[in-house]
Amino acid sequence: MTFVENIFVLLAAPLLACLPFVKGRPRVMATFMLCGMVCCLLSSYVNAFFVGWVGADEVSGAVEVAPVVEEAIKLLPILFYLLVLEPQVEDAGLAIVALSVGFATLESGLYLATGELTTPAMLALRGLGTSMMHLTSGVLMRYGLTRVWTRPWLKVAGTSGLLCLAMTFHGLYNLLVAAGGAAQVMAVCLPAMTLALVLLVRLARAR
Amino acid sequence: MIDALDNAFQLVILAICVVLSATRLFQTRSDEWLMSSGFYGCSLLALTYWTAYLLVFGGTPHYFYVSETGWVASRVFLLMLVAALDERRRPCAPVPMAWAAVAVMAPLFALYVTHGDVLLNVVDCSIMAAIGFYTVRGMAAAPLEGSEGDRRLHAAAFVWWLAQLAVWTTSCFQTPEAYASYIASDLALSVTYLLLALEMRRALP
Repeated sequence: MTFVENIFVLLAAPLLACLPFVKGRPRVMATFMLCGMVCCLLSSYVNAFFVGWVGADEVSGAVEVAPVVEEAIKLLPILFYLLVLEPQVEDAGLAIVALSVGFATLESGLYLATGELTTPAMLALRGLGTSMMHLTSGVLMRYGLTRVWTRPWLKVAGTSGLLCLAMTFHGLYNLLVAAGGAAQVMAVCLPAMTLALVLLVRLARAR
Repeated sequence: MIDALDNAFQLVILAICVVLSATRLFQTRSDEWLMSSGFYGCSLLALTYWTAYLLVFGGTPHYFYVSETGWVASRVFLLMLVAALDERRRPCAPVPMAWAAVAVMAPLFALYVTHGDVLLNVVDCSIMAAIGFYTVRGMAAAPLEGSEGDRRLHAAAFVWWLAQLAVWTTSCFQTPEAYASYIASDLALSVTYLLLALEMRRALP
């Protein structure tokens, strides 16, 4: 067993063990965090396959292949949940956000294990940047999907549009990180600023 | 350099269109404006990624489809919008001329597929054929069954459709003349984005 699977087992085991003892929304949350971790694991395999298939280098793989693969894989359990189990809007929203959190958690665990996060700047890039980016794309998907899935004829266009939103947001983030320098600072700020904007819009609408 | 200016111009136009659509979406909360915002928003995101890639790496992305998913999604939103308008107008008299738009796509598909990706061209050409069909039908049927604003909106969508096809067609050829035509048609496409947004503001509730 390689080390990716070891970290997955360590992080996923407590979530899996808690499932029989929780009900309702906590169970939805734990299940989808687990799904997020599975998606992260699958993404690492599929990414590696496509990078090898198209002959991309490491940077092109991160900037061009990873956003498409990761966001598409993250959408699959959500689509299954919405199509097969037809949950309430609140449960669907919770599931989307929990899945992003699970994905980001395992990805951060993998980075931690590489031993590359030695400086505060690297920790900020991972913690405030990449993890927040996954959460932001999850929050955007949450607001979008729970709206478009209430209109049957808008499901296809809306879902493809939201998938595009997540992919390009992820791609832009990875692109800025790859550019280095000031662009990297922008990359770290981009997800946090987007989340702040979403919160402001929510507050304005609540008033 | 010209490429960067052309992209910057289109980015500004698209940003204006997103603001125009999003403000109407927040005011009306109608589905038509949701689709319009989706159309402009996805185009803007895709072009932002494309331009950022050009600036950072000095070339275009060539391994995978990040921008392309954005452009496909934006066209799906436009298709949903013109299809929804068509649905609202029913029962509609048959417009045989609308099939001409679909027929035009066949030779163009053959041209595009020899210069690019098969899967992407199948998806793109199918969506564009459907958009062409609905816009021609809308232009022909609106004077009889719709409003003047409706007809103008379809006419603007048709002009956008022609400009988009012109961009794709000119991008297939690698001569200096074709490059100049490509830039000209891309600038025209930018203008048609704005034209379409203005006509949407007139025609949509």
